[in-house]
Amino acid sequence: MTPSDETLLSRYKAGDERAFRALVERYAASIYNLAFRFLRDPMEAENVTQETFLRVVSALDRVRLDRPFKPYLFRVAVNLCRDLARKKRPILLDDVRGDGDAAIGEAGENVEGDAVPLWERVQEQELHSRLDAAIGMLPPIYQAVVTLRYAEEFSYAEIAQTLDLPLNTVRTHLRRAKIRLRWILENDALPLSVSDAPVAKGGEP
Amino acid sequence: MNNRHLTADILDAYLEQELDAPARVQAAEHLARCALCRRRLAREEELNRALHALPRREPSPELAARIGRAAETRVLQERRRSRMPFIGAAAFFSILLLVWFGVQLALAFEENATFDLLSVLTTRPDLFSAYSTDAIWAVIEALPLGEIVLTLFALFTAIVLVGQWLETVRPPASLGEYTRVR
Repeated sequence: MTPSDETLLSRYKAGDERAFRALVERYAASIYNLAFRFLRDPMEAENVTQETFLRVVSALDRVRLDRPFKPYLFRVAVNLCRDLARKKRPILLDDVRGDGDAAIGEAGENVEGDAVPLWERVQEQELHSRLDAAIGMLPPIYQAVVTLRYAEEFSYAEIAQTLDLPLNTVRTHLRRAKIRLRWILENDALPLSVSDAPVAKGGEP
Repeated sequence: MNNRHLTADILDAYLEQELDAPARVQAAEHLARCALCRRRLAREEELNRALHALPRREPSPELAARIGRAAETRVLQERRRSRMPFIGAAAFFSILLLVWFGVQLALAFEENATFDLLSVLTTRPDLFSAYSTDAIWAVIEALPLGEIVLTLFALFTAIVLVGQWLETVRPPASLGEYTRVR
């Protein structure tokens, strides 16, 4: 039977270094993937992955064994990524005014008619590339919820624990992130959407 | 019967299995009747599917080993850090001891008139050549050997302890340092 994270952590606290290596093997790739989506730089993503585990080592005495380890570990990683991303990223108008969702919100809530969605018009590889780029354009908190949910398969509750947010806020962030993604993808794809009909609002079932 | 279209939030919650049972039944009934909402649901599903299908980025194969080595170093640093007050106090007292033995050494040189003897021997080399064995023994007897040994011992102890203390106060390599060396 595979030992739980908490069991491995407890063994590591007791001095078993193999337990730490097992935790690294278990989570290094996931944390790297998360960090890469934030930072778009393989070297920085590796540095964040390494620093995440080193922070655990440094704080070992303070890490609680009665709480799930995975959200704690990812919270450390997300915080490191956000700190680094903040240093790298220019301040966007949305960050100051906070109206990015408001501008997009109406389009996102539209009950659309027969518009042909992007993923029916482009090759899978191109879609991945565009979606990846679109995720990179999201505010960091949205990037975090999207990556944790879809790349790491976290439950809403795990995301809430990881980001220290109320469950409903996680739902809202995820929803808004997807509205933004769709908006970015559709607007990015305007040259392709010659066959798109104008967005219709309302309509009878 | 509610003929209003499902909101994007409801559709999303339906897809993510986040609706409670009555709301889920209600949404399913609406979807069974409404082709437009079914199309919107399909589009939501496509986005979810595309997000799930995004290729994963893999780290270099040696990352895990690198983390293991860095963790061992960090553990040593942390252990040293926990001993910092003790090592700091020991380094401080070793410096006091060094000063004390240094003063004692200077006084012993003064008391034994070692420098006077050396001065005579260097200004009168004929004396040294005439009584070389006696001169050498006289110099050895004039040296405060005990104080010299104790001072050297205190000096080495102070160097080692101060070196260890500096190791403990030096902060571990931070993420900033990793990124700066790129």
